[in-house]
Amino acid sequence: MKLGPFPIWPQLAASEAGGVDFVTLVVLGICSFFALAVLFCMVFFLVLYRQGSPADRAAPPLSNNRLEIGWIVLPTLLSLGLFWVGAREYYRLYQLPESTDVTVDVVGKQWMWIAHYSNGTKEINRLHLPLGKRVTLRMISQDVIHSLFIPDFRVKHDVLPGRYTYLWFQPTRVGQFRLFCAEFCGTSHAAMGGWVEVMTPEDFQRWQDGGQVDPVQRGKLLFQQHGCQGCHEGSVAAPRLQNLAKADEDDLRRSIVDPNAEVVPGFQSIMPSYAGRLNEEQILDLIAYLRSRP
Amino acid sequence: MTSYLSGPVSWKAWLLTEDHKRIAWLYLISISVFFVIGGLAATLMRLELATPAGDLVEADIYNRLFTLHGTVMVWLFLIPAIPNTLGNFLLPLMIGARDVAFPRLNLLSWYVFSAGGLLVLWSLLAGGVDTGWTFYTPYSTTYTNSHVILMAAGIFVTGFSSIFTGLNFMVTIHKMRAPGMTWFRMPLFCWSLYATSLIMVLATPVLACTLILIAAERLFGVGIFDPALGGDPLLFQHLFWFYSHPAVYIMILPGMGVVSEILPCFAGRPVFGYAYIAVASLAIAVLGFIVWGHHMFVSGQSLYAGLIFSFLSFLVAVPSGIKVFNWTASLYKASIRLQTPMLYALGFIGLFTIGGLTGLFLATLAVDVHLHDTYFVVAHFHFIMVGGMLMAYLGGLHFWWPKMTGRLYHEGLGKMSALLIFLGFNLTFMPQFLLGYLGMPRRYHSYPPEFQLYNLLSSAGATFLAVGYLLPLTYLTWSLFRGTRSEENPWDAHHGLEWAASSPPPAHNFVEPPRLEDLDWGMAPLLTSVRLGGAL
Ligand code: HEC
Ligand code: HEM
Ligand SMILES: [Cu+2]
Ligand SMILES: [Cu+2]
Repeated sequence: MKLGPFPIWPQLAASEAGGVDFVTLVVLGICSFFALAVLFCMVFFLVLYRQGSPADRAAPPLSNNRLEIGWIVLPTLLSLGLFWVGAREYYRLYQLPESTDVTVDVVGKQWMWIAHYSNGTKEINRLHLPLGKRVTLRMISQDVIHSLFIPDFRVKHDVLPGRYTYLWFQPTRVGQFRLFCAEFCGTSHAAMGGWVEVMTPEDFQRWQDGGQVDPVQRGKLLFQQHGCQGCHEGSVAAPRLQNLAKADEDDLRRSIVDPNAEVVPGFQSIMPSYAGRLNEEQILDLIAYLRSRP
Repeated sequence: MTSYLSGPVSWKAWLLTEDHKRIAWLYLISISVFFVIGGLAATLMRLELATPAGDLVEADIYNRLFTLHGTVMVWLFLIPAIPNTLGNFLLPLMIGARDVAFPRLNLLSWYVFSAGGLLVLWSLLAGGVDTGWTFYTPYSTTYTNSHVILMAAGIFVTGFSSIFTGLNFMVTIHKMRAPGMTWFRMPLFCWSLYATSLIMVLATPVLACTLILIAAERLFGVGIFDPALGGDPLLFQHLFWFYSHPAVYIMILPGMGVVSEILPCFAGRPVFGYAYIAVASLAIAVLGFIVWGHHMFVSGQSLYAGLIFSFLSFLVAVPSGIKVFNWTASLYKASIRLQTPMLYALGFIGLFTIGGLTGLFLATLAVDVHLHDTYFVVAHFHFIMVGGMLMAYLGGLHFWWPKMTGRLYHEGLGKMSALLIFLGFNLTFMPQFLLGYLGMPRRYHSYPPEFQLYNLLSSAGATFLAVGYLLPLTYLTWSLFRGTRSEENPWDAHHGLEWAASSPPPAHNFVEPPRLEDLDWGMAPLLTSVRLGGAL
């Protein structure tokens, strides 16, 4: 949701997202009440009792046990209420359902998410999911702790080495939703993200059957497998390859097969040529991927 | 009477001083240096985050910057900030003592602190550390190739200075109060220092052990935290937060104490609910020890552990609430003067309230699943630690500056910077709440373009904030040499033994040990607290 140029609320795209938002709004309501009450009293007193004002100041009270007990008991009761509302929803989020429709294995490793589907399909930094089906992710890390986070689903769970952790949800909207790593995991932590792509169950079936991995995905894989990432997202002085959506495809292709032909100003010509190492199909995939980078 | 400042002024006299007031200055100077270093790191980070692309510094550098910023600000600035500067200076004065119980231990504490600080700086020069101030395993023990051991050693060493100071303050408060200075006559600042010291003494050793375990795994491959070696990574988080949650109260209780002193002075009436505020400090210190698991709601700890920790976390918010309500009530039937320290104190109450209330969002389980490790958490703790503690620190510094230096600063500049800091702070951190709910994770070197607007606002706010901090640095320093001389009690404070001493105080504080019965300089609040104490 947006207010003019200001985004103010994330999309709701999974079964429990509404429940979490509801709890958030309850907390927001109670907290706003206290914040505004304190603010109001402060401003009121500041104006009324500013030095030199004619207000009545006779015998300012030093303590009042009734008042104190009131503002101990009321917040305590309200917070117990909050605890309860939050705990119920948490239980729903984290208690795995008895049965699920789709289970995806997710491996986190520095710095990518690898998803394995039961039919052997494998993808990186992208998660294809069927609309309205109960999905369980079985997650584990190859190395350090990561955390799988899909804001539009309001779900998050750490992904640990040496032990499976799980997350379940039911996508309620077709579309693309961001996927992040939320636990700091080293150099390219910020790049360890991708997209969740929710499709209708029929499309999902077709996708799984045909292995119709889109070129951007294949390109991204190549980008990682051929060491591009090491330079372009690592600590080497290389361009960050961003905002290439409108770049000319011939230029991009030349940058890959003959990088020395036109060196980007301000950089050394250290990029190796990939002519002969990548076939044209792969280069097309790479270009598709490069253009898709934000 | 010669003041403590006009005694011997050689380097040696300062560096070997056992006077708590001079040691306070040693600390003040050290932590100011660390504050500047931590601030520079933050400036670079905010510059980097002005645009979505990671274009200003490399990812590895960015990761080192936020680690440096967190470590320096937490351990080398905030934890010692109020206790070791204002606390050192004021505690003996406030309870009518000549010094702290162990003056030499006090000096040692500063040396140990400096040694630890130098180790941390060394780790920085050697190439930095990129684990975040939280050192999560197994990244910190097995995977990173940065200088974890050096930095951990630095923190380990500074930990001892915390312990020394904590011990010293506790013994001082138990044993050195002037005749007639009963517990419930003590200024609230002393109560907050007592609660803080309790945490320092009980929690810091756990941090020390944890750091040793990290070193053991990293250096010798002893499998403690890394599952590849047979360890458990969650064990680390439990140990770390068992220290670090109480530590966040080390970083706020003294600020609450400062505000409880400033407020009645400029409200021209005693604080409301003295005993409740005093006891709330202790309650926070105690309850703070049993809520650490709220940092681990999504970590893979048991679901039921999550339930219990959430429940307890709500309880710990109650005493903080009590304080806010009592402070607000202290403005009732007051006669309010909006001078610089008061502006800071009011800013503290506002920002701390928001910081504490957003803590409730995070303590609410389902909401925390969404908000954990996002910018919402970053905003939450900055509201408390910067909006709260740092405001209180600056407020206290301005409040007691005439006492510490014998000079007055420029009131107009003081007010202006307080206002600038308040506005700059809100512009910097308010947008981060929204960023967090929208889903921007923390510790990101680059981010998706849809988050840019709020990041830009935040970076813009940081600019104002930076100017706001530089101002006091300059006019306070200037006033040291050129400020008009201050009298004993420049604010017409009606309570607090420190205002009975000259400005600046003589080396031994009081010519004769003060007897509370004899005080006849308008100590109404102290007398009322006597009545209250009697009622309790
Ligand atoms: C050894 C480090 C290195 C590797 C590996 C590397 N690059 Fe580069 N790349 C560079 C540098 C340095 C430049 C800038 C200088 C130049 O133009 O040659 C560059 C330039 C580029 C450009 C042009 C950027 C622009 O803004 O016009 C593209 C496109 C590119 N690389 C793509 C790739 C792809 C695709 C791969 C993997 C198949 C790859 N690079 C592998 C270092 C590397
Ligand atoms: C009023 C009561 C408070 C409550 C209920 C509360 C609650 C929480 C919770 C639940 C978290 C974990 C959030 C997460 O990581 O997902 C958190 C984080 C944090 N809080 Fe608070 N908090 C309170 C007060 C404070 C105070 C007083 C301080 C500091 C002075 C503080 C500093 C922090 C810090 C530093 C973190 C984040 C640590 C990190 O992950 O780096 N909090 N708080
Ligand atoms: Cu990560
Ligand atoms: Cu905590």
